[in-house]
Amino acid sequence: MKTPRLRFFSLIEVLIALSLVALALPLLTLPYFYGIKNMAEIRQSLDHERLAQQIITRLYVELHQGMIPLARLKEKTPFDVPEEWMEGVRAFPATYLFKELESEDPDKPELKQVELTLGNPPLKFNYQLVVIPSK
Amino acid sequence: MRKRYFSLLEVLIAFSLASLIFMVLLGGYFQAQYAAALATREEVERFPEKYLLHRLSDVFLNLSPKVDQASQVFFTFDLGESKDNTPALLFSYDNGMVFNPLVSGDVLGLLFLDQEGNFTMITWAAREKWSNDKPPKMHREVLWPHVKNVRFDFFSIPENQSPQWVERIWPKELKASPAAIRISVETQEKSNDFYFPVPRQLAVIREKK
Repeated sequence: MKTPRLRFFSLIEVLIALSLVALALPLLTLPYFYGIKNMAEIRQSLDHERLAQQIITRLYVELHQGMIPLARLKEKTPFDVPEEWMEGVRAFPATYLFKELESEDPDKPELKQVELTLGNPPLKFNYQLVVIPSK
Repeated sequence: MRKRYFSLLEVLIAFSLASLIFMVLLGGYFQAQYAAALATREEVERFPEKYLLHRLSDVFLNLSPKVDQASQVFFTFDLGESKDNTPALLFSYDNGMVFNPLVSGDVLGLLFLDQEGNFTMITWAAREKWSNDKPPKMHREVLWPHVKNVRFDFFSIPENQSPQWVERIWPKELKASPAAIRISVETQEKSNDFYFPVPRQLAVIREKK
């Protein structure tokens, strides 16, 4: 009885098959890298400066209204920005800190600096604030 | 020299290894495709929000500092074209240098919600540039389409009085601009509040006794 003959592949056939596979791989992974690039662009397009302006406006308004006590201006530690101030933009770590610029004469306006820190890696924004003491 | 051949088994093993790598890569590929689609959708959805924030930040930072002259105004009024009788806001601001000399420098701006639900801004030349008392061609831009409701609130810091929010209406008789403006835009999905400072007043805090 004749035994069935085994089908063998030559090295060249195997190499052709594998090189076709290797060609297909980079083509398939292209959209993957495109996706990463797209995400990075979106993150960059988040305009931190405009968000900082929104936050600082709300901070000033709340200071005027007494919702944030003026005693906080003397604190040396940063405060967390409330989450609802960033609503509609994107939640990420944000703090504000009051710094003294001039404060010697108690009857003269005090010049303060508000340092706002946004995002990760953190970006710093500085705004001025004038506090007129009560007579 | 005898030729070296691969058996079917060896080739099958090689292909199964290759398909394993394929599977892993395809998983990553579909995940990335999903993330890209999500990011694109978010970008499209958030565009009006970002556009409004950018556009009106520029406008309100350049509001005319005084509103006591005839050509300088800041007030709300009932506009017949507004959806559900929402008040419209008329103001004058410095549009800077643009190609059209008629809308360079001091111009008039009007914000309102039109009947189709487009939150719209109209810009046209300041009164003194009108010929024969007829307003020149207006520039109309839609800031945010498909809006349900728009509301304006104004933060006022009056002399010798406590600072307060004035809701919806800022009368012409006040002849002053507020310290900050809050615009609430309500869409089918959510409601967004935008805060815009008007330069000069807001960064001065008066301590109370």
